[in-house]
Amino acid sequence: MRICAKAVLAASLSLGLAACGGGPAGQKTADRKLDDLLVTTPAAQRDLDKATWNLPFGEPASVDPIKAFNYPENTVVANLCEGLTRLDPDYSLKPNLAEKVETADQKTWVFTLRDDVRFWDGTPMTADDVLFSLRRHLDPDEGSYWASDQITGNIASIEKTGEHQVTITLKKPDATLNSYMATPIGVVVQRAQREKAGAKYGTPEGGVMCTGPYTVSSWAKGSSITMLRNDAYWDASRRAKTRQVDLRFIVDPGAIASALETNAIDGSYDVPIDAVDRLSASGSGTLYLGKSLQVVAVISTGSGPLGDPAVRRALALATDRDAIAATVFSGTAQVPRSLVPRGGWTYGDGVFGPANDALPGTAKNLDEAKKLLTGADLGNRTITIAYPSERQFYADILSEMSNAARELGLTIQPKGVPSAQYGAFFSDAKARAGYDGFMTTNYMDVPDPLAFLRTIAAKGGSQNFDGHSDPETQSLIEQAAGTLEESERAKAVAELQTKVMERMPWIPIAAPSVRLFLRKGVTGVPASFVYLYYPWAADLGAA
Amino acid sequence: MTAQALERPAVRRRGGDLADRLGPLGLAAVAVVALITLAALCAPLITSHDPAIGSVIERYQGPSAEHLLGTDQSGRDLLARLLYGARTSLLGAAVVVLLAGAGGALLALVAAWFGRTVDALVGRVLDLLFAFPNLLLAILAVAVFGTGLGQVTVALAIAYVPYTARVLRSVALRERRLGYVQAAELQGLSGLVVSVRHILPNIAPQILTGAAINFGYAMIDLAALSFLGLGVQPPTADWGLMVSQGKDSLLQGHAQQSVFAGVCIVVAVAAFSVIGERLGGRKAGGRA
Repeated sequence: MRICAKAVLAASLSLGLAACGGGPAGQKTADRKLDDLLVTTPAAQRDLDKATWNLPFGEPASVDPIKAFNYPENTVVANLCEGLTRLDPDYSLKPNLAEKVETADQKTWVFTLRDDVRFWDGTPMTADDVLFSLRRHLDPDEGSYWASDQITGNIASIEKTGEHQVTITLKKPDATLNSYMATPIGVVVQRAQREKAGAKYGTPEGGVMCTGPYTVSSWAKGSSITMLRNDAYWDASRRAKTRQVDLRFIVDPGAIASALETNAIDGSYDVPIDAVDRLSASGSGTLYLGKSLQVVAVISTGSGPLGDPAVRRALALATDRDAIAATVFSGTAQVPRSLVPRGGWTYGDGVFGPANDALPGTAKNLDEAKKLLTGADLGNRTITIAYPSERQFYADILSEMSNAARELGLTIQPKGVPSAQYGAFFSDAKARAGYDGFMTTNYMDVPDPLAFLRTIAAKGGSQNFDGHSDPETQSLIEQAAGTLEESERAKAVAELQTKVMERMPWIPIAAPSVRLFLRKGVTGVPASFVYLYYPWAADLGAA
Repeated sequence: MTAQALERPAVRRRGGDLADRLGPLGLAAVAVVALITLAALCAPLITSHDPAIGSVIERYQGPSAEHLLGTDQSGRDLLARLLYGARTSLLGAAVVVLLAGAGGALLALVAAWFGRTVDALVGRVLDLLFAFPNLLLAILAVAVFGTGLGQVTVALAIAYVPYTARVLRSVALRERRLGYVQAAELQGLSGLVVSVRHILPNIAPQILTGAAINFGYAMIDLAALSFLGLGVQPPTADWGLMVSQGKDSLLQGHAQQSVFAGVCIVVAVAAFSVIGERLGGRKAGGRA
């Protein structure tokens, strides 16, 4: 009897809740303006003693810069350690630890270092530290996550060529190298401390020694990281405005939304998509939408019907991507014509704009999609696509794509894979076996379309998951990489983009905006997608 | 040996009126279970909607003539997903209790018949299995064999075996010592024949009542595994999965999916628990 009474009570309560929670039929997400996305929030007016920030992707595994290759690590390391160059919120590249960069042929890059930079312990940064830091990416024993054929694999030598000068010589010209010096590839750490810390380097016990505006004060594993302002920061004009920043690792969307609404945390990037409407209406703070470098896409592994470019293009045309952007992303995403997000065109405005407009439109066009498949051999017609099972929005996207596939005579079979296993899809071909495609929220490491397209389309590219390569594409990549003059490079990259989008190795679904929430009274952090490499916390202060 | 001692006690156990033992509450629970089973079987007759098909354009629709319970975040009909979800939820739990019942009965009969060393060995194996929490064992199976209803069902069935076997062993041991079993042995019947033809029918009520109780627990465990993304995979409809998929919708103020699926789980589990307890309670092999 006791069990039954409890069950009836629970059922009654639940039904009551359902009645209260049920939204009206056809409820629409508020229209959002995405034409002019923000790059930063209003500048801070005063210093702040303490702030609490959330890392929605969880706790970093390490703060060693060469192990920083994902959201949690990069978001923290960006405030601790600095590169030779710096990517500002408007995606412009600025000198940083190197005061000058020179190249005549895009093969030999000479970095003239500042002589006034000091590590947190007060010791000066030397050319030897820079040399050591850059060479770590070439040392297999160090295990840099940034080591790749295209960037570090293209380095012929790194030498100290003066008391305050380091020269990188490449095997082949690469105009994007300087941009990568703003990422962990160009980050400088203190050699002595690295050697002393040994295997514990980057961990709560071993730590790091860098030059950035914040130091790690404490790291309670599984709970929080406390960053303290580096009061002796070498650039007084960019000294951090908040004395202490506590970083939390709340990953549950509901908990994040509640913590933001109650001001238990002062801010967070990447707030949950499903919480966007709720946070927009919240009086406790402001939701900012920023210029992003992200793209949500379906990656083809080259197998099954999805291995056919005509099928990929037909699916793109038949899928109502506008509806996905408006509903699944709560109106915070745009539908891109290209795999390169609009925010990623930081040069060659006069070239990229028309080139993008010339790409096929994004509106649903079933007739055109069916024409593309005329005569195509579709094999078994079933397309298996993997997605991280914890991310509901991927399932929603695939549900909508399944409708399109059905209208084309195809079947999409979504298969959820736990996130813990999903990461292997990007590094291990065996993990992708049996799948025709997999979902991604990808982002550009640097705001240069060449750098991004190269990973997807170049022979041996780190994200060339279907293994396709052709001489014409390769030639365009090399031509663009060898062109330093930006408007000229833009022409080659635009041509490359057109060629890549003809094959469409990835089906672009949406270009999400940066979703940033700040509580009332705090402001200043960038709203753009620079927070992985830019010391965003240093700009945080009181409104 | 008296004639009374040689008499098989089966008649004694079957003598009770099932309806009396269940009582009004038990009968109501049976009606609920019958209703859920019927709804699951007749899902295509009740709704014309495909539980796996929807459009995001129609997401979070409220109740209407077209969608009696509204739609979920993918625009799928909630009533259709509840009805078809009952199939996977009931089927998974049924397989768990069937396999666990069969395995438990086998171990109990072997232990009771051979006794001594074999009994002790079976006891230690059961102790070992008891050491692993059910969900942990299922998660281990997923790590080795991948996600899916089949994998977690088999893993849970293995995890449920000791609960069934422990109780059935004590009942089978008692039967083993009764005169009718010794008489059958004296007639030269083999251990297999005596166990299957004579002892098994007499421990059947305990198997059935244990299964009824375990059915509810199995539903909860399977729902939990689906909630964690380890059991039934989208877009297949399943109550546990619906609770999980509705979690993010709560942030948007749409509680229907999680709540409706949660209510179904609560009602079904309560009904099976009531039936089990009325039939014989935890003494009959239900999970502790």
